[in-house]
Amino acid sequence: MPLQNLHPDPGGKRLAAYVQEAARGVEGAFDPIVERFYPDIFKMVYYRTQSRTDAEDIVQEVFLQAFKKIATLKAPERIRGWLFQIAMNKVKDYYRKKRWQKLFGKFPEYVDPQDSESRQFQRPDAEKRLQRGDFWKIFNRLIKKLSKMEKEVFLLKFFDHLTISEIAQILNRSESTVKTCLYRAMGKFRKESAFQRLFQEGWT
Amino acid sequence: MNKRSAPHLGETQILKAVIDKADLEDAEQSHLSVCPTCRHRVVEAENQFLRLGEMAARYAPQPTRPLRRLPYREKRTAAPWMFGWRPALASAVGILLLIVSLTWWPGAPWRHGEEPVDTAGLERIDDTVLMAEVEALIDEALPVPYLSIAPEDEPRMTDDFMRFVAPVTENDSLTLYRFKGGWASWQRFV
Repeated sequence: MPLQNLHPDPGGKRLAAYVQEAARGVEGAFDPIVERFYPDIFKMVYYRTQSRTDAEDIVQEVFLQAFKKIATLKAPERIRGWLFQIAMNKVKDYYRKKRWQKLFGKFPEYVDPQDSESRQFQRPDAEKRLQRGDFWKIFNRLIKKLSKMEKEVFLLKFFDHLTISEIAQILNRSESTVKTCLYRAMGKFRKESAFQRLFQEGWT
Repeated sequence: MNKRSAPHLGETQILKAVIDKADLEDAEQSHLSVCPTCRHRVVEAENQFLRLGEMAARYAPQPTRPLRRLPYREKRTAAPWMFGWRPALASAVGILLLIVSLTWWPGAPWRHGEEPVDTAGLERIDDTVLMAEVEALIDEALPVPYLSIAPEDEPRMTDDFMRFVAPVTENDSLTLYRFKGGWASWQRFV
């Protein structure tokens, strides 16, 4: 499947109509929007936090804020990018909060009980969980090689499947800047042997 | 020159072709359209990143908690301007202005007990006090310790007593001047 066609059409005109109705305060009009984007936004947040429970909390906040502010969205067709932008800001808030918590040492590092390695081997799907854990370990090693901007552009393009113009809009950068960052990030990934191994060792 | 025989695309060109073929130079685009090797490399790179995204999606967990019910009714009953930081800021500024204006308002109820300050009157009082001090200095030129040595209101200190203390001398020019009738008498005497 070519990359250009990967960006899914979010329901076209019907979705825009729901957005307009939700902006007018029509009861239930926001529900289809949640239904359509909840999985995408959840994954987007999970890729950045790698904690299911934290991602769920953040997604709740994202949709609650979107629900309250939907009347401020001038172009209903931009709902997808707008939701990603809210989610991006919430993830930033999450990391800011986490940094403060770490600084004062008040709260212990949260361990997701479903994701913790200690329980991985006791479950029937242990092998799958182990593979999942290994994938994220490799991925984290690779993503650390990128700058903050390169990482964000890379995730938005290949994991969240946003278009270049959507990414530029979300990050408030020009399309050429986005592309430059993307080329650099892709180049760094391709140079890593761990990246090449992902496609050779039966991962796919 | 045959386009196919041109040098193959480099890694950067391959990545550019994955994202947007329009970013390639005309010659590079022409080469890509005819060179199966370069086209294969572009597809291979494209697939790698696509598969990475697919893997991430597959290894991401599914959300288990549904989204909590959205507060539709709250939204309808509460006007958007009633809550949020803007009204809070406006209220704070309003209260601050009220406090400032009441503090500086001359007709404020708690200011009735205070006398209005008459600066000119205070200056007049200062002048009077100063003049009284000057006059007192003229009347009592000597410092206080000296006044006790030679008090003027001593009743025994009569003219006779003073003549006794300091008798009039004929040679005393000043006394002579004083007792003989001034400058004219002095001239005659000399």
